[in-house]
Amino acid sequence: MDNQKEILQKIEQALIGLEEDRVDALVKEALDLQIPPLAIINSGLVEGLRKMGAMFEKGELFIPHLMVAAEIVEKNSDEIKPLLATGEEKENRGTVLIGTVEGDIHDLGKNLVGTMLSIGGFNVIDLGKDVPCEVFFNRVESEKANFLFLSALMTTTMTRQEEMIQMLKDRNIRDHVKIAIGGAPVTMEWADRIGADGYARDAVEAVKMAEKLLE
Amino acid sequence: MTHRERVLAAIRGEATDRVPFVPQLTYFALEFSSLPEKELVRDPGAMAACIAECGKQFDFDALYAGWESSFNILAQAMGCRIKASEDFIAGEIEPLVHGKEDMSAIRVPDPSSDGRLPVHGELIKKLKDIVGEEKLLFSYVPGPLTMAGMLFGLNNLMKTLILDPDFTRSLIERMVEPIEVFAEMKIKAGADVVVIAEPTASCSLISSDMFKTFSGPCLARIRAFIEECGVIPSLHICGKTLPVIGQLKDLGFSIFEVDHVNPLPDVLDAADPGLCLQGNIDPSRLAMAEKEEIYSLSMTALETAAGKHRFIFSSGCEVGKNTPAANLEAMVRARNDFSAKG
Repeated sequence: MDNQKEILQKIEQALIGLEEDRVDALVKEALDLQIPPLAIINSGLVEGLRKMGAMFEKGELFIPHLMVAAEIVEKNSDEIKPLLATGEEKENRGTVLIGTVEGDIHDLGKNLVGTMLSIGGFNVIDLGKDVPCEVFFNRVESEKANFLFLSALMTTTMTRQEEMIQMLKDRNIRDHVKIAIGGAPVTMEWADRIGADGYARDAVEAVKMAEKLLE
Repeated sequence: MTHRERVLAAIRGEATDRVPFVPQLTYFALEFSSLPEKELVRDPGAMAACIAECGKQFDFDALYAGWESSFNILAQAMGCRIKASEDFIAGEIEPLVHGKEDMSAIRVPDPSSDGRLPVHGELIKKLKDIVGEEKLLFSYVPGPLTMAGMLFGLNNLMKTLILDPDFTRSLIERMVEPIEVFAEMKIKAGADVVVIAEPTASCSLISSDMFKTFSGPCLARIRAFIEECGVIPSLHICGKTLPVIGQLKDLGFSIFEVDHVNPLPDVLDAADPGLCLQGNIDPSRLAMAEKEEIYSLSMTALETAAGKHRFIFSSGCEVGKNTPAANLEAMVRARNDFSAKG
């Protein structure tokens, strides 16, 4: 047990130090010691990323750190997943559709949000950038999405977030999906004004917000 | 004082008759043309006319001579393929560089013939013909870190800042010459202030140490080039910039465009007294708020900065196309009322 705790903490620390080779080696060591794969993912990798998220919020880490770490976590998680016992698969906390709205081609924040949500246990379908409302609508229906995350980085494109919500209302499926919005010009006030269910300032907040919307 | 004298005095730290008002505004001027967008964006004379008319209606003290994202047009001229929108404002760039092996594909553009660069040169010339020496012309060129992100993909760049700093530095350095060529074209066409737009250097994305290592050195080189050409260098970084304002003295810029997320009192404390600050009304508020709120925000900014630091009253970033005219008028009214108080 102590051995397990020690190795998982080492995985966390190696991740925070962005030491990819060390993380890979420790994950292998943990598996060799027959530490449950789900514990390696949740209590080692995801926990390390969660701590990095807290450091990001305090201004101690920045976007590049989170992106590199998220990639290390995704890579190792993908390698571990086939080893999970039946019924032990990471829970699917809900299907998230995410995309940058039509007319907008910024995707850095959106990509990181998608990755963090995926690591956080959500089934993320990334529709990319410059996505028309009609495409979002069709996929909300076909994927039976629980969440729709809309990103907009310009004052001229954030109006698409309002249009999307209106489209869902007009077609009587607004209450089928929780809508979250984000992007540099977007604020909580805008979210309240257009009737979004949530607003996230950054990728770390996005995961917390999605968890809150689950409740 | 003329508009020109007013802005130059503010930059130099000399007394002005009123606070200069120079919002960061290009697309908004579309409203002042009767041409459909698709035609307007292909007609430098028509673009110049509507920028000038907009500036006259709102009594701007200087004008921004530009249209679509300067990043896109330079990236295209350097060899990237672009899927441009009809109004040339948003456009998706296909990265040119995927690794060290692609560096040789980066071109130094010919501003007389490559892509939409000539249109931008023509736009500045036409605007200069209209306003003459009455108003300074500001014009954007992209910053080196931001251009590296355009050519390599921003997501990739963010990772290689950490994973391959040597490659990243060499890629950023390769951006200097194309940016200087673009700047020189604009200066020869009549730009009086060249604004280096470096949004990727925002501390909303990277640390102040990363700024110092990756963006700072090449910004300083381009700034020196602009000065050697005889015009004024300005720097624009969107979002959070308070952590790097202290570094700007060494970089040598004359003007720094400050975004709204940076509280002006803190910016004033951190900025060198010789740096002229330009800002910082939130463009989102400009687009969404009622005019009374804009007036109030404007008065607060003016009371905080004007007379206490070299200052040009402005938006924090680009004024959106969808901004109500009444809100720009509120900014003007605030500037006039503040200045009348003496």
